[in-house]
Amino acid sequence: MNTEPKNTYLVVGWADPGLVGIKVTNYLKEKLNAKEFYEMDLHGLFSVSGVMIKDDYVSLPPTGGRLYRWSGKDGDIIIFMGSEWPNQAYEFNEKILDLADQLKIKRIYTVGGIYTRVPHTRKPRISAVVNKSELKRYLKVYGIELGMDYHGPSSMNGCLIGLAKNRGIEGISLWGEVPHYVHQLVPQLPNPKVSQALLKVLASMLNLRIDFSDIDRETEYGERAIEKFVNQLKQDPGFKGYIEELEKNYDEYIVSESVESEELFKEIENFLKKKEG
Amino acid sequence: MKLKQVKLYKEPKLEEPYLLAAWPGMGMVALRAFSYLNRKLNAEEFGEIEPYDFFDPEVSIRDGLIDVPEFPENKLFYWKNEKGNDLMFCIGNEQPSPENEYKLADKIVDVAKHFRVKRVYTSAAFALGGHLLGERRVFGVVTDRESKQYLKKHRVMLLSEAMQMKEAGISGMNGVILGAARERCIGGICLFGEMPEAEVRLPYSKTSKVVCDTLIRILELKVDTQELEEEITQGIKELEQQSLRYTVDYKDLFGKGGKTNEH
Repeated sequence: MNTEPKNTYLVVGWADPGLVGIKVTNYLKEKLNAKEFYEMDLHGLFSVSGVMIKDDYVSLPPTGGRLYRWSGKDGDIIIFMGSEWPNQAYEFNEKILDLADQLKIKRIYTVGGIYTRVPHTRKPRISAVVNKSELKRYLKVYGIELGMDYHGPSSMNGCLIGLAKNRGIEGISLWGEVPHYVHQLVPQLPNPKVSQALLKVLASMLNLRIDFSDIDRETEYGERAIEKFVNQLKQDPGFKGYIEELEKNYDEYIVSESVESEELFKEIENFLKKKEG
Repeated sequence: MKLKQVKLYKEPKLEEPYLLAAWPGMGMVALRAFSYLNRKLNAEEFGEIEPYDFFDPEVSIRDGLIDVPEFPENKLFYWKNEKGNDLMFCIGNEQPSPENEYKLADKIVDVAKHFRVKRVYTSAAFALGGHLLGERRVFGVVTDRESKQYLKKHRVMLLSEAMQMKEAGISGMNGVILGAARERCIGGICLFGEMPEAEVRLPYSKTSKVVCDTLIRILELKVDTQELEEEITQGIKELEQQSLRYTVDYKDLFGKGGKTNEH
């Protein structure tokens, strides 16, 4: 593997709430026409429950450890898309960072969705976490305020940029806030509106000029699907009131505090139990 | 060289051995065929894979008294072949969870590497809908060209020839061990045996015998499978008798005039 130029950035995304991470990284890979250049050996880090047979030959299934590269004027962007979380998160992230060291990655961007108390009817908000204080000022330029306080289990993205700190690699985790009452109940439902909002911020940070008009249709379709689902829930006036309260909080600029997803889920579960009552 | 997570009671000197590996699967085809061969050859146990990193323990409690926790076993056997390649067996009595399948397979490949295994053999059932008319066929898939040539030489059909299928899969350890072997440049063959879908969950299947016969033929062994046939026939008979008893009980309980129809 070759040693890469200095300004090389790594973008990492997973299949997470609203499928934001995987949508953003996949879109970027397709739009930039990034080419596959390396496959990490991740066997042992993911569950394997069988083998494939093609033309009478047996092989292990791919572990999805492929990396894609795009070379631009200002530097290279390397993209990793993860479909399922590995069993050994720490070991996996250390492997990614070993590679980041070899490739002399300047900064890691992780992208993903996070469940919060935001209404689906409002403009998506992007929040962030950084692993270096100086990056806070950098994010202010993009209109992203940092203020999250949290202590508890880590996501893959949080773990990666936290570990990157040990190696002196800058890390920014960008989170698209997805309405918890939609995506906790229907995890397979994507949120293209949030993905698009995060893509725009990321593209701006990476100095990429991308025409996003091709995903406008997908965003409209996605919004209709979410609205259709929510309309079923809204038949209960109590739930309608809940969304109105979220909208009021949003409009009054009440920052959605970081809440553990389990607590958010209990909120919906209790509401639905009362509904069945 | 000490192998981690492997307990060896002795270190036999093996000449270009083949490894025959089997775990419980559909119709218990692989396990029954390979265990039978292991027994008839009087293969000697020489070690085991320590289970602690691959399995969770089970406990038995009888009348309030708990026993020492038990773990599934993955035992190692060997047989010296005066007329050809020596044989190693790895016989497991339980499949690990998906998170641990590759880890266990990779550990067994460590053992295979240590003893310079030339090829890994496994088996699996190929379930077909409906009844099977005529002989049950055996066909193979491979990890490498040499193994493909080997099957052709011994007149064993390949999957693509038998079923006109370009793509398929093998679930569980009977497949993953081959994938792990391939990663470490050890050749492998899986012998599929045809089986009606109805036998998938049963512990006895005539497919075990056809697979065992094929293995005996291609490895040029002198082993009689009459006892295996009797074992399978007896097992199927007992299952039929059991199901007849259940049918009678079922009719008694739920049929017209049965106890649940009192009102």
